[in-house]
Amino acid sequence: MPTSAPDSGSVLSVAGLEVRYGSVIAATDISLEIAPGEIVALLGPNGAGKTSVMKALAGLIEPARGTIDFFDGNRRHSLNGLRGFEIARLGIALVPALHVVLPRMTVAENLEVGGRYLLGDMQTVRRNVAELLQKFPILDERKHQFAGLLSGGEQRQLAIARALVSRPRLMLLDEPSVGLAPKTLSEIFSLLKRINKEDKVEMLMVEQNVNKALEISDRAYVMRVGAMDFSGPSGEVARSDRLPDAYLGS
Amino acid sequence: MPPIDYMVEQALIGVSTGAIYAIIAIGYNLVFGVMNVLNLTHGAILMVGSFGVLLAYHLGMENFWLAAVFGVALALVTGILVERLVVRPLKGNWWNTKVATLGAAIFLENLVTRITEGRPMPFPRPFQATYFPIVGTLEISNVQIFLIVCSLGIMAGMMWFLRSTSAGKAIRVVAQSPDLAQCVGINVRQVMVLGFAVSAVLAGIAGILNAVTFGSTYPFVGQLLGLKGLVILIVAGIGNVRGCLVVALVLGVLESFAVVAGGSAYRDLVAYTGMVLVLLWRPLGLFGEEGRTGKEI
Repeated sequence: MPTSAPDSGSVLSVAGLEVRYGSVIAATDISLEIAPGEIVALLGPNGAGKTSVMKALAGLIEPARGTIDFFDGNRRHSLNGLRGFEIARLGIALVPALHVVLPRMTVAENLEVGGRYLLGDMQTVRRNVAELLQKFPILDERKHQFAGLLSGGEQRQLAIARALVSRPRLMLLDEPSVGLAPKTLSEIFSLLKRINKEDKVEMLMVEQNVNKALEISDRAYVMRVGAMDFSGPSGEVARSDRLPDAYLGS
Repeated sequence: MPPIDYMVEQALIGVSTGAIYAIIAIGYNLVFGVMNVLNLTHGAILMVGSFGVLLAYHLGMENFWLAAVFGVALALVTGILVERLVVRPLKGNWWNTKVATLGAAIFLENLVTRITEGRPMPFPRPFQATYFPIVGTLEISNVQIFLIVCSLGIMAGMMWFLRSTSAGKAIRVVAQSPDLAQCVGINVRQVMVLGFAVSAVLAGIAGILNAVTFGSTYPFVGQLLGLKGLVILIVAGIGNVRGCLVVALVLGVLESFAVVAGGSAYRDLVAYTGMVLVLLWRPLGLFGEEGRTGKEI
């Protein structure tokens, strides 16, 4: 399996991960690495098990097998056996694919909640929120509206901004393009790239828009039903014959 | 038509009954919201609260306020035990938790019946009732004032708690999406226990206020009250605290007027007929919203 990811110094390293729902195996033998500074794409057709992998990494499902290690810049942590909120407290922020906002809270409250339980200090939370509202002007305009009343694209922006309030080290983005108009999608993707570069936030991204994902990511992993198929630098993956095979079957 | 001052008096009684209903309904709402569990022990916990006061008197603690604190504490302990022993082992299974909590209610009611021989017991008053004339023949007693101020104060306190405190906000986040709650660093398990505890405290307070209203309590007092709370929850729409308050107050006042118009036999007709009519018109309740689950994120 060709991979350019370094073995040591990885921000996230996953080995032999298996996710099950009862007796049904959603994904098995998943190994992946995220190096400092990287955006990594996790691709594959519907039902390949990408979201299940993301949920396992975020601690929302307990993995049946495998190890997950996270390096926060100072210390190495094993994520095995940790629950979702503990993983979030280590600096890993999941932006889910569906139900991304708290609909019965205002935009401002959604953002505040993103930091309140992770940072503790409300002054820092307010400062971070104010900074993010500058990066996301549409949210600033709508900050007193209920989040449930925002459009799909605005909700997605709110979810990303909320994840950023706590200044996470690693972002897990599950299908950030779902329900977005093409123009909004480009904006959000360039914003993600900027956050990656400027704020030094690594990202693992599950994405159905393969071209876009390969455009902004450094490396990509491609899954077939329930297992890893191949991986490589995004440019190579984009040109690979195996990519259409993974989606359409060979 | 009865004289106007009589109607005003009935309305005041209705408001104080309604406020007690509201406290009960919000207790249901909290547990339903954070755990997606319908806690049918709620009525029995309320009853435990009222008997806790009697127990305190029996043990020689003859101060109403101390006894009330003891009663609420007993309700809290009961609630936490129900969460631990009855709800948690069933892992949120919708039907099993309903049957099990109903079973726990029957157990508590019969346990108290066994201990007290099941007769209605006279309930102490916080202070001697004195009546103040307002206008005409209309009078209001200090006990009535106490009940209204106390219930509305608790409602206001609850809203402040849910809107402005960290713990209260955590409860609201978990109610909207347990998975998102985890993602923002909230210990969902802990918040569920907290929701159950606050709900039990509210039940205890409601039980005591109700016993003060009627001057007595009995082991099955929670059945009808619990059912009323449930009706309010359904009519208001699940997950809506302010909705519960409005519906509860309206129900209390309407019940009062139904008694004036047709006698006490008509009192309970209001809630159930009202529920059927509202559900025919709005199946999600008056203030309910679709898709309030956050199960799949």
